[in-house]
Amino acid sequence: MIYEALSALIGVFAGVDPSRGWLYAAYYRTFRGDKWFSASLVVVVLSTTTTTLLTVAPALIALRTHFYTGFLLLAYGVNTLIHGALKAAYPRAHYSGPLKPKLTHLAIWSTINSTLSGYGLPLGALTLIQAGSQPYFYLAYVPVVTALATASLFRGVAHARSLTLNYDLILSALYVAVGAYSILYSLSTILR
Amino acid sequence: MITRLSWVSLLVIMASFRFTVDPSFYPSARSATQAPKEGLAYVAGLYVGTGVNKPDFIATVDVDPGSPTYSKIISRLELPNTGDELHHFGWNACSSVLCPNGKPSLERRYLIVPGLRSSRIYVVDTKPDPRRPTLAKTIEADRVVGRAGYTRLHTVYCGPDAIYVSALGDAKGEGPGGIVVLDHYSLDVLGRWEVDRGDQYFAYDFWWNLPNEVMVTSEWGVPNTIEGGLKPEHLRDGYGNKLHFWDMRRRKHLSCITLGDDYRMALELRPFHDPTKLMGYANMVVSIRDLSSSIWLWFQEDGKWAAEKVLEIPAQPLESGLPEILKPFKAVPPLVTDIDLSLDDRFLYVSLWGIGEVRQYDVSDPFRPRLTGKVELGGIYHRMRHPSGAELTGGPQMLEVSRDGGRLYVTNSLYSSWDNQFYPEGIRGWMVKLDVGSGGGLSVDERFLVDFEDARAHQVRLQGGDASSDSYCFP
Repeated sequence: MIYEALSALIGVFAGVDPSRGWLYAAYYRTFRGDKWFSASLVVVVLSTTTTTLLTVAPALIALRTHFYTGFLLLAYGVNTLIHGALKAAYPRAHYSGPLKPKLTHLAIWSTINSTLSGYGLPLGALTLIQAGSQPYFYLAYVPVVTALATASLFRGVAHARSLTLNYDLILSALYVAVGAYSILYSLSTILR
Repeated sequence: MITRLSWVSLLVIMASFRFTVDPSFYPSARSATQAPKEGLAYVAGLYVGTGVNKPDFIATVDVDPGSPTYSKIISRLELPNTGDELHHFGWNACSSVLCPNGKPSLERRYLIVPGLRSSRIYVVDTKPDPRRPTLAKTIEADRVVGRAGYTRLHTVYCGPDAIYVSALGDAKGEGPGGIVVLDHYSLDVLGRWEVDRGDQYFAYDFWWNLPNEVMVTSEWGVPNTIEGGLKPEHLRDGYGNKLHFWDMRRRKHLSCITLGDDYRMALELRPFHDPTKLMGYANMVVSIRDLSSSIWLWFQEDGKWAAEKVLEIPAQPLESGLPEILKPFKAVPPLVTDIDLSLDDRFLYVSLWGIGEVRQYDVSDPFRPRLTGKVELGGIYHRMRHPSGAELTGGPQMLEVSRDGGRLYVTNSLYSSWDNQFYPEGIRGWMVKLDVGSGGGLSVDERFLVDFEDARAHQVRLQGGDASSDSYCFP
């Protein structure tokens, strides 16, 4: 159950955070109307999902070809841990461009920032840990949970903009935790 | 065992983070009005122009009425140099961090304190002990000039993408003035902000409407004109009377409007805090026709920028007790040198440094301000004492409104060489507090009078933010 919960949590953040794409959606709704709001949500969800799935791809291929070893999980774990630590230590990797970007700009920076945020790393690790069950089920959290969570969140834009969570730090902690867990788990399988 | 250990480590890691942004940040001005009351105020203290050869300082004042040191300076951070002339200052980060393009890990920690004469920038750290801030960094003037080309640094605002500091002129003391940009993390000078400045030459204040990506700048004079004191012969051509509007994204000058041919010195800019209202106020210090001051509302109409005079405050006739500079006129100009707008955009506060008054106007209808409160403090005209009986030299000048709108802090120094002209008997720095009635009205807090002795006091910044420190992206 904990893996489903972690996957869901990462999926939600992938949707609502991607370097605060969700806040752009709330902002667009306030200042530019529902059409822009919907369009920006679609752009953010698609770009985030695409880059996340690309990062998870090695794990999927390894599972499909039965090439999965503890070392691949170790690699995901180490990368996730380093990524989380770096994200916490150097929080400046963050979009700070115009407040009224075109949708194409939004798509580009959402892609770049979700790649920088490394959403696929912990999801890849969790997919490998759950290799014996249904990896595609967990991966489905990315687009599905993202879309559902974001849509429900934006039913009340007034509430969305009053959230003062530091998504960068939440993600950092989550990554460090998942990374540490993945490393320990992989070591236990390698050393067995 | 390993699995158990890993879950423990996971919980420890998660528990060690604070997952919210700096609690002093608010997404909208409306939510910021619910902020807790301030406990400390940071005030610029200066000796320039007093004849005392000491370094300027940042005073930390206890503004908590329940504290035993209420109304006292509890620490003074003396700066390492003399002659800086501290003036305005601001925070490294504020509520603009919550804009979509903001950086959520920033915290309100450093005060960016420029020297108006020295053009140095001091970075003052208010942590770990906010009651005793320390000097974290000094950026020398040659670095500012080398990277941005500007000198005489004035207003500081924390933007979502960088820290912005206005400058009055260039290295030779002439124009054009402009804006210097500082990096949020290194706190170092990045360079000049303007890409295309059009016909803008004079500079002074600036502020913005972030969602609309509009910046507004105002005009005082170039350093060579202002630094030696106010000379009447400079009034016609040496001081500005325009507002400039800029495209913030392209950093390009869009247009400018003149606020009356007879008025000079367009100083403070106070946009409405609600970003859906694309308008704001500016004060014109003096009319060369009749010495009056005026308040103007600037706004957008049919896609074009416009401004309308919404208040005019006349000079008061006076025969005796006038300083040399005013004797030929036999009158005291109001000298509206600062204005401040409450966070709920309801009350506009106006200081009349010459006459010696602070006024409160209800601006629920922005085009028709209604006088709702007034107090007399010092001044050339009123020469009103504090209710405690203490003499108040100078006049009410810098204003700062608390976030909840309940308190207004006032200091009395304008600018060293001008202080000496208008108040030749000398200015002893003070800070007073005015209480604001729930439906309007002003009264002086008898318990609150901070004596800066032989130093002068200029801008006040309240711990956690105030009505002129933060900008908001959401209504």
